[in-house]
Amino acid sequence: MTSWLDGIDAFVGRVLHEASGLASPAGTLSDSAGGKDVPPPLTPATERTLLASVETYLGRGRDLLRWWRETRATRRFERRFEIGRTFDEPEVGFGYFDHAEVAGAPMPVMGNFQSMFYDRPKTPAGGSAIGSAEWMREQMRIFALRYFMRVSDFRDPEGFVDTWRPPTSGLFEPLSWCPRSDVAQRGFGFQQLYYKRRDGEIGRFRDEERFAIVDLRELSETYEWIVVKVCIFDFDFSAAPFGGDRPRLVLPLAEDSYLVLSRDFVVDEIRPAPGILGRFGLGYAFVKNPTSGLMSYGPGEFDAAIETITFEVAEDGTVRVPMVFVANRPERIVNLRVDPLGWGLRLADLASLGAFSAVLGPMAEAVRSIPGASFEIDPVLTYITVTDRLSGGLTSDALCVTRDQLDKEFLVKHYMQHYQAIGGSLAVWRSVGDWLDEARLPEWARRGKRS
Amino acid sequence: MTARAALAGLFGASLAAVRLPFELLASAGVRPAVETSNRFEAFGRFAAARPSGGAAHCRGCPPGEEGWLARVAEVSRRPSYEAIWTVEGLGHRWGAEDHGPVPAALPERARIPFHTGFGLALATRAVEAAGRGALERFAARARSLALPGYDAAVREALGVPARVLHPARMAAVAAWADESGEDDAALYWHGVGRGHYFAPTTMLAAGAASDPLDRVLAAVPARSGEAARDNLLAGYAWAVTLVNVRDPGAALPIVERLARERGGAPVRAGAAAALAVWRRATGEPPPNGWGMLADDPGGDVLALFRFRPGARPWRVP
Repeated sequence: MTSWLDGIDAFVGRVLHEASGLASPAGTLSDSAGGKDVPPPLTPATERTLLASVETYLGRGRDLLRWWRETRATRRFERRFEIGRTFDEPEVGFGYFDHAEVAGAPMPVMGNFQSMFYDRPKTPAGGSAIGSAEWMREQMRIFALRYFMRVSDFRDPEGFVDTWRPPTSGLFEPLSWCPRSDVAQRGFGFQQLYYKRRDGEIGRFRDEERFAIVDLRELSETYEWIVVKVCIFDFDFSAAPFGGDRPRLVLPLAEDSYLVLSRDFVVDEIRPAPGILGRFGLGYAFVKNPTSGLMSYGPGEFDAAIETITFEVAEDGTVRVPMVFVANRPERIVNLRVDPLGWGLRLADLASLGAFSAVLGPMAEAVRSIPGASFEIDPVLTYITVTDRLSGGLTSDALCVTRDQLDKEFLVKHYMQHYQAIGGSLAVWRSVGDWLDEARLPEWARRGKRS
Repeated sequence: MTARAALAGLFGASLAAVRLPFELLASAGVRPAVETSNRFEAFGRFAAARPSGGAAHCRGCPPGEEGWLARVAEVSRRPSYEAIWTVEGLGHRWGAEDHGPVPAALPERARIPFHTGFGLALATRAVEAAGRGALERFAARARSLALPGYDAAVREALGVPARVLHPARMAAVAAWADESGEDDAALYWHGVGRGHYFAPTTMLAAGAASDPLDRVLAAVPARSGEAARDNLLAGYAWAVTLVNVRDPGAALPIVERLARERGGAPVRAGAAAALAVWRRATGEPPPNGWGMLADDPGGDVLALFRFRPGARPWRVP
């Protein structure tokens, strides 16, 4: 074929393909050969980076778990503070700052502990409360260890007007009166991505298995670890530097995080203590996102973090859910790279559809690599520091513009998010009459996928 | 607004500007403009197809299968011409977002367009990755992820991105297709012909009336034989017919001229296959004016996407 016409077809075709939104979403498609016949959700290089880091973050998670268990037993934290108050049920919740030994070195950590009431069986007078409690224990055991991670996302009811139109392009969208499908999702959406078997084989779960998280008891038998991606819905984190209803600082925390689960974090105990019929739970260590972005804060950006969720069944069948979160206190909030030369190059590329860099060739790379041409700043921490100095300490003492306050706000957000997630799962838990009867479970509970 | 969204908006506006004169001329009944306008509309509806919400709120957390099927059902209630391209777009998005096998509960009528769109996503990935391994995986996925009997619709799509997005790789993909077997080779070239109708230089060449087929026919290697050429013609005629199914007056002159100058049997077979696809996908007979009645091959979906010498899947009323 005539080469220049081919070139036009290829160039225009690819531009149209990209601009029309037909290109595969970033990170969902690659054609790397793998053990399983389904493309991974990451590029091959990113996937390798992620998998290479799993053992490191799992090790740090084990250290944090050990620290928590030791410290909780003594109930002594360097700084402890209240972070939640409920008005109907007797809940427990507090946050803390402390130091933990992780990978052989002290690490400043923050976290929260919350314990919330979940459920209790209703037994009529003359009925067997003991039978109900033991039934509750068996139900809760399989729910916690097999189904919770499959059904932990849920949606608020969606009001809508049935007026479907093809979506408009970005420029015209503000003018559109067409209803948007704003689905309010809550809770966590887990997808299992990778595994390491006891024999050392590392593999990728098949696409159709992604949402049916393995029974966590298999982490004792079959798998050394599994890597899970979690979507933490509705995780808006905002601070009000000017207070009240004034402009707020909204930090775009990543919704997706990678987690690693191993048997260290699985709790499967029958009668572990007086008054407790059973204790069943899951937990995980966070794996830092393999690709860096604007934020250095929040889920996916921790150097070390764990979360545990345990369902505890008392002798009367009452179920409580203690939850633990521990994470390092990040040193930065935002990674803002100031790169005027690089920005100029990118703007020129955008306007020329990539031709500018193509024409400049090696010169473009040379411009990008000039020492000192770019640097990183953290505008959030800078704001905190500068205002504190300029005000002679007023902003920190009287206005709570401090790093501690930011971390506490995050912990409060985390507390509320998990409170909602567990609260939301209650309806799911109650909607099934017998979690042990797998044949009669709804499809979405078995497969972990819903509309 | 992200840079990507801004670029998408800019192109949307540019495309609308390019389309406008064709739409105006088409409304005045100018045949080449009608034909080009139909191409723009088919592509536009395909590209704009989206499932119901959920994916936008969480990367990698797609709406469930039930949501997709509900969207297919909703779209299928729209006017047939709009529905067929939109369902194809949904199939493409299903494949591009890596949702796994085609849903078994997909309605019968939606299956062909959904699979062609699905195939396009898988094929684009394979052609972009390049290499025999990628093509082998494409073929394996087409067989394992398509509904039983519909893998031909998926496999045929391989020629489309090869022609439109990576014409420099056409020969390499053709070599693999030739080695894979007669059916794969036929399907590939049929897809090349179909893709040729949507190539940018073809779309803007004042419609198909100027017949830029010489260029693509010249790219068929001699070793691929007459079957490759016939299937390319059939695929091209297939696309011309289906895109202009509601305007036989705009497309018939093209089809008839192609049949006279290039080969009556493959061109007419391709057109007939497209009419059979239309009837199967919409439940409606093709509009009057096509001058042929297309035979439906029943369960042999492969017959809708390749030309077999000696086949005559049409009748003149």
